[in-house]
Amino acid sequence: MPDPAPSDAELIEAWRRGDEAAAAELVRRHARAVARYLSASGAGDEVEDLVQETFYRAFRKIDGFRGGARFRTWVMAIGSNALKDLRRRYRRRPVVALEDREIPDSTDPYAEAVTHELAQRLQAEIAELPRMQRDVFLLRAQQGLEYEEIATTLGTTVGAARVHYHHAVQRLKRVAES
Amino acid sequence: MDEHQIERVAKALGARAADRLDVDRLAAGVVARLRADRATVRRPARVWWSSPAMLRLAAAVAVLVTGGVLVREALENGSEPAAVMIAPILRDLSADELMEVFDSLGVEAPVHEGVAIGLESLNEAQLNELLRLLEG
Repeated sequence: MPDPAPSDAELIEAWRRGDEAAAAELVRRHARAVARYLSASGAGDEVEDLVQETFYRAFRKIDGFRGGARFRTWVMAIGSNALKDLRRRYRRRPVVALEDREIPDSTDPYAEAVTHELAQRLQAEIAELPRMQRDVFLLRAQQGLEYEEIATTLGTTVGAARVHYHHAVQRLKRVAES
Repeated sequence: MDEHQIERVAKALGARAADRLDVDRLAAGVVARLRADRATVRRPARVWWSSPAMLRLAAAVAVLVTGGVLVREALENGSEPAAVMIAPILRDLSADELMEVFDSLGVEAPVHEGVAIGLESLNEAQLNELLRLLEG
């Protein structure tokens, strides 16, 4: 019987001992999820560079990972910081252009058009949300995390996270219905 | 539109961008950057003179001292100062050729973070200025 795949915790420990293969495996394991998160946050065409920067930062400060949240969630929070830094550096509004290929396939042209248009508006609005609202909303709605983990990762309380989520949803609803 | 519909749209966002990601290439890139970092950290700690500004100053001082020795020797021997004689010739040399001349004087360019910083970091005008100083 083959050995089970090492857990994230085991890979993290291996990286702390200098095992580069362990770091590479963690990237391969979580990069797509981080890319989805950052893309939805408004990373646009720079998502790949941003994902690399995110993991680079994460491994450099791996000693700051205490295990209160999952590694993937912790990395996403670092990615949010990296995105903020990128926006500050370029002093521009977030890139929120949504390409056709980002839209889920549909056999109904009308439904597809509606979905496309709605998704564009929502993504643009998500990128414009206050950062905490955006992070909470995406970690909850897109990544399916519990409020406890979101609060731990973002350094806030469960109650505050719920409030941020509520405000984000209300704002997105208004955009969707406008 | 209700909350669930918004969540459904949110879940779909970024999916194609994630699919396009070359995770192997990405992992290799991250590891390469980390490896470069570790190589830097493993280098012996630098002392105060390792800053680029101090290295430039040290290089300039070394060249001036060398030039001073040449001039003194020339004066003691009753001949024209060596720097006076060679400076007009050296002024017409390219930066690379000037570097070779400085190397021949035995002035070693210091190294900072794996990149030579010192005489090499001086441009042609700066090198010529040093020669002018040598000329006295």
